Amino acid sequence: MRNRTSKQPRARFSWKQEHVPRGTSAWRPVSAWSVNAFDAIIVGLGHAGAEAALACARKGLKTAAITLRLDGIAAMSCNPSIGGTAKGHLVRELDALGGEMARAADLAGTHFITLNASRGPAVQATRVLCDRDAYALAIQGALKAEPNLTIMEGEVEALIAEGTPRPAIRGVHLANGAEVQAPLVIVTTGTFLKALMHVGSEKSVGGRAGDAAATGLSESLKKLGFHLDRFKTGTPPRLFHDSIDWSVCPVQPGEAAPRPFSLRSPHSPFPLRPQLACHITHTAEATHQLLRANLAHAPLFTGQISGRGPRYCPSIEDKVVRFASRDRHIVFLQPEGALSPLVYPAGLSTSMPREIQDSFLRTIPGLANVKVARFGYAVEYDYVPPTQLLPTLETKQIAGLYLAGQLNGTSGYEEAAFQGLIAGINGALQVRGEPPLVLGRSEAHGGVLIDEIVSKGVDEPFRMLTSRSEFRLALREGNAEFRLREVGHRVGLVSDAQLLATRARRARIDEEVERLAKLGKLQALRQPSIRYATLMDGEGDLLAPDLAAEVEAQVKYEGYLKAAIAGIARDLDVGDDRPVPMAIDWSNIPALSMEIREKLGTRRPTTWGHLRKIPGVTPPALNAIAIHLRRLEQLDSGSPQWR
Amino acid sequence: MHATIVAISTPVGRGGIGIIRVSGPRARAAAARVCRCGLPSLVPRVATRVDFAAGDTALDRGLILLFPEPKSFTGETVVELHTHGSPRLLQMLLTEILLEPGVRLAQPGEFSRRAVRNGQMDLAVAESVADIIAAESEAQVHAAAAQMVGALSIRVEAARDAVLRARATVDGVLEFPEETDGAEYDVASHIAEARATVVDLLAHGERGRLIRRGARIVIFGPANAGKSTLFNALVGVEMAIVDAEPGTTRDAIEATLEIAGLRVSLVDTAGLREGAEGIEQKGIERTRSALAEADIGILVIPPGASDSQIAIWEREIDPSRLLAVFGKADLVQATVEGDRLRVSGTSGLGIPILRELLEQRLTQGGIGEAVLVTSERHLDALRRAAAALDRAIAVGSSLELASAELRIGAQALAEILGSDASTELLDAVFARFCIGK
Repeated sequence: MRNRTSKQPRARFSWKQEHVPRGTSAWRPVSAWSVNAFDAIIVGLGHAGAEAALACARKGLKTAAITLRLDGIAAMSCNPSIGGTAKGHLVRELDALGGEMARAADLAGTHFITLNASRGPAVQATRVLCDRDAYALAIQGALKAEPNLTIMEGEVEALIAEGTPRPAIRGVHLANGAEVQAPLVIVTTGTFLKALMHVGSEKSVGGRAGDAAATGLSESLKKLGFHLDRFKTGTPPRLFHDSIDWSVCPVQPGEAAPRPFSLRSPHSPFPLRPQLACHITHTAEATHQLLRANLAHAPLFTGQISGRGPRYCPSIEDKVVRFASRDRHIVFLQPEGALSPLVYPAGLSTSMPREIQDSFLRTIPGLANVKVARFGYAVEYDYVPPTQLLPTLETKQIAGLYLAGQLNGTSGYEEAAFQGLIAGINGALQVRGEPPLVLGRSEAHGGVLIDEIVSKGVDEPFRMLTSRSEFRLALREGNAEFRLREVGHRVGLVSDAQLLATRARRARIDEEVERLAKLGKLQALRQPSIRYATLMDGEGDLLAPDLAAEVEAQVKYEGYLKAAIAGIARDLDVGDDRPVPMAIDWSNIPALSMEIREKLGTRRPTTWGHLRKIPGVTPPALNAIAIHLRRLEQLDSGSPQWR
Repeated sequence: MHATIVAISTPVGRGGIGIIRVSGPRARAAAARVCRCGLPSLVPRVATRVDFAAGDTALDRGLILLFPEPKSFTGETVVELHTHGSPRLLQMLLTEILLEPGVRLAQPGEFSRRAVRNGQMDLAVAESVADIIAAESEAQVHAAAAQMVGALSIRVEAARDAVLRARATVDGVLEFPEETDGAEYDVASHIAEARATVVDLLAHGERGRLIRRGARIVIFGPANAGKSTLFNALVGVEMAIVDAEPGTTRDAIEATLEIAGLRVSLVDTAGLREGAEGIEQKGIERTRSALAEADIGILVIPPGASDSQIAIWEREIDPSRLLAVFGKADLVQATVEGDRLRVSGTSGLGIPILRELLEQRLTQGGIGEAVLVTSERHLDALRRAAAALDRAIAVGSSLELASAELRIGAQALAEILGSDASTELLDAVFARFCIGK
């Protein structure tokens, strides 16, 4: 057993943030002479860090969160929206598990939209445009409300790990020489490791405009044996609201009566703040000509940026080259908040020189006289190829060290937040000596996300897509609560009352499906064009629209899912989530050939799924391993996963 | 690191030469063990003369060939030892080689399996290796050869690409609904294109089955029409008992012959007769079940049969598989019998023309040159792919369902190439290989 943290010295100093106004220097950094002991340390407080910190603190761990800048906590560094296809699914799943992102988006939402509203329920997705400041404040408020959480400003320069053969994390060193100790460290530094910003040929060090970069931590990770690689991402320029001719840009209406993102938000009154208008415009032929003529100045094409960028969120100069046949690209003009003077032009990510940004913007309808508040830039950063992680997001190399978010080579707030939550939950479970949480591919898109990155790795910033999931039809936004709230309750982030509410809703759906069957209307509802509301008109009380949508989805997909899943399950066992103990001595299984023993020793599979996919591991070999593991479990009835 | 494998690659028994093949990282060291003065200096892929020995005892003089990785059959370093073909000698050398640490005997098909794993060939090509070894008819050799040079793989890959393109369009619309306006109108045509490619392959598959399994031709008709005489004439040997008494043939009799390079099972059956009883009735039932499996049914019509009778007999098999002829043509004088062929097993009248007709029927679609799907495994995968694509079209605008079907279709096609094959599938495929291949 690892040392329980209760035996370690308690924190002597903690600056409780509720006494301190946000963003002032009164949030003092830890000084050089102090030694602080905690149960958990979160490095970085972006979207991954915030979820990780909340999960740990809510699970009762004395948690320290260390951030470079207090007023950068939960900043939306790129687009001001939460959700979208697949991302909306992740946020609903995160919410059902007890995460914070959905609730903050509801509090800050200024424009709600359901993507694919005319398509099937499995692919409908929520996207919420947020007031950028309100969003950060909502998350900061949640952090402040946690009595177990201490927030510190400072730069973590090195990780401390000891022991052999698999060292365990002991804490972190700050740049000012202070040391903070904990048996659990979750690193969520996003794009800040050795970050380099590019605008045209200009380069500057930093992970976000106005922020510094973290260099020491990159070196520290390398020293601990991690392999690091480089990716790039970009962000569009920000425009002044009053310099745009809105009259020529069509409105993209938001929903009048949107469904809240979070199960914790009330349906009424909703939305919670005044809704804003979003507008649409398009790039023009002149825009494309100008960009093509100036490719020589684009860092992406001059070779100045070597890291790979995200295919699913390409820069505008990338788009005019790659989709040369398109004569225009759509641009969404999204206000950053009711009181903000800024507009975010989604679709115009760029790292061209300032003067070229200025001139190509002016070729776009509505932007003829645009004033740029801040020019777009690209960020190049170190990431840790995620094949070095276990499915719990703990590193294979160092016990008790977890990595989450963009640091793992993913892209997007939602992907980051989901990893942060899972890392937080698993870290806390590990400190408590409880079995870990690994979501199966059939349980959640989040399970697919983590399985994909840890087993296959990434070759570009990884964006979640619903099509990555072979169980897409079963993993809907609408049933996220029924899939995952039990899990959230089991790990301690969902209250009894919340769970009971979900169970009651589940029961109402089941009863209604039964009633449809009794009325002989199931067959009719299976037709794609037949809707529940019209079919059941005059048949007594109807379900609320959100539950009705789930009834429809369940009935319409049912036969289909059975057939499809049966076909898929042949190749992809659903039972593959079963863990394989980390520290198993493969050379000690006499029934296996030397070849297989060696291979298992180097690959160190962590689940039966991984084990099965290793070439050469035959059914008889699997059988031999199963017998060996069963014998081990009998010898040692503890929880073998953590050895 | 994989074990080094070794096997005698030539057939068991005495022969002019015998070949031992070694593959893997220890291949050179293993070969050196049986070279009298150690491994001579070898130019890749050039035969070098060498004296073979076990221990200090010289055993034979032969040739040695080195194929350094990755340019070898398996993709690993391969050494081939060519000796004189004494089974005892080969065994002695093999025993000596197996003393090298890290070297073990190869399992059946293991060389080919490594070739697939190392990307030297795909699964369909590997299977053609087994096919060509097992080929019994000329057409099987041609089909295996076509598959070996990748003719099937190219077509399957094209079909799979079409399916993946269709799916990319569907998922593009679903994942990026705001950026792909208009793309959904292309979805139906993309899926239709993918389906056409698969259906085309499947059509080849039905013909390919004739090559793999051979064709079945069943001779049937009323009793005493001259079926058995015709059977004997086609086979060229008296196998069926021929008698003027109706109902002589009660059990189906079968013979194998080659027509147009195809292996053909020719079946003679009991005569169809109203009111047959007992043993004979059973014989007629057997005739019907033989017809159910037939690729061609030759209806032999006795002279003087009425049109209504003929119509009844013709109903025993569907028109596409029916070939009706008049039998006992030697007994009939100058009667005009429409456009049906007149044959006589006794005199040989019409037999060469009948053979030609059968050849034409069996080879329509061009066996020999065409890309052919000869394996049941491939055919099954193609059928599943086609069914999935049919459903993808049927679900219409429910694009998430279409996407799920396209995924199933692409997976089925990938199984043929082995790019997505499970261990179980690979085990099943390589089980039919022989050792040393």
